[in-house]
Amino acid sequence: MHGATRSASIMGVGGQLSVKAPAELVVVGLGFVAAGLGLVLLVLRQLRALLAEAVAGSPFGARSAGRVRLIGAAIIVAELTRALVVLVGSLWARAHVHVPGVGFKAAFPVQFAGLGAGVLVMVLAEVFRVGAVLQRDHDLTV
Amino acid sequence: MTLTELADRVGITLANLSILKTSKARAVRFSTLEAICRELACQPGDVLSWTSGRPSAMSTQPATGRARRVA
Repeated sequence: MHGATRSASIMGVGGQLSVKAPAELVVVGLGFVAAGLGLVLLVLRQLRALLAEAVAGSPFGARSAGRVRLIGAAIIVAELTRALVVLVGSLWARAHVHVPGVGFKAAFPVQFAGLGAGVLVMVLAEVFRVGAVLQRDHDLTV
Repeated sequence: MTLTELADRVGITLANLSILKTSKARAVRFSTLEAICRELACQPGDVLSWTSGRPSAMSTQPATGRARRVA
């Protein structure tokens, strides 16, 4: 409006920042990717064994609790590793990327939902442990 | 009477009867014990015993004396 003075502030800016990563950062990144793939394969292997036991007759085999516990641990490790990757990236950006007017914060963004899911699976492992005991008693009840 | 015949009459598998015979069973149903005593014409005390110091303190003993012999 003519003659009116208004003030405004920038609430946020969106966009993309492309940075050429040095070789050592690429190697570290590939290491994290390989570790992630390894975790995924480990979890898939445990799930496959659990499914095989369930199809064979009962999911409460002697090793089922250990497998479920391993899956829970893998979920927790994956979440912590994800946060670690973000931390490494943000630390590197803070040290090596300089953009006028832009600052980078080091962050370790652990998602408690992810950790909670891992803990829940570990608790489920206890259910499988008790189930295995009951299954053994049942199998040896004449 | 053979073990197979006894298993059939009692209503359990031969494998389970073998588990019972070798004292590996963790529990015995009363219905099974009743059937065994009926077929062997014996009392539960004739086929069960308790011994201290064993991992599975309760064990099955071969029926003695009054009971019928099982091959």
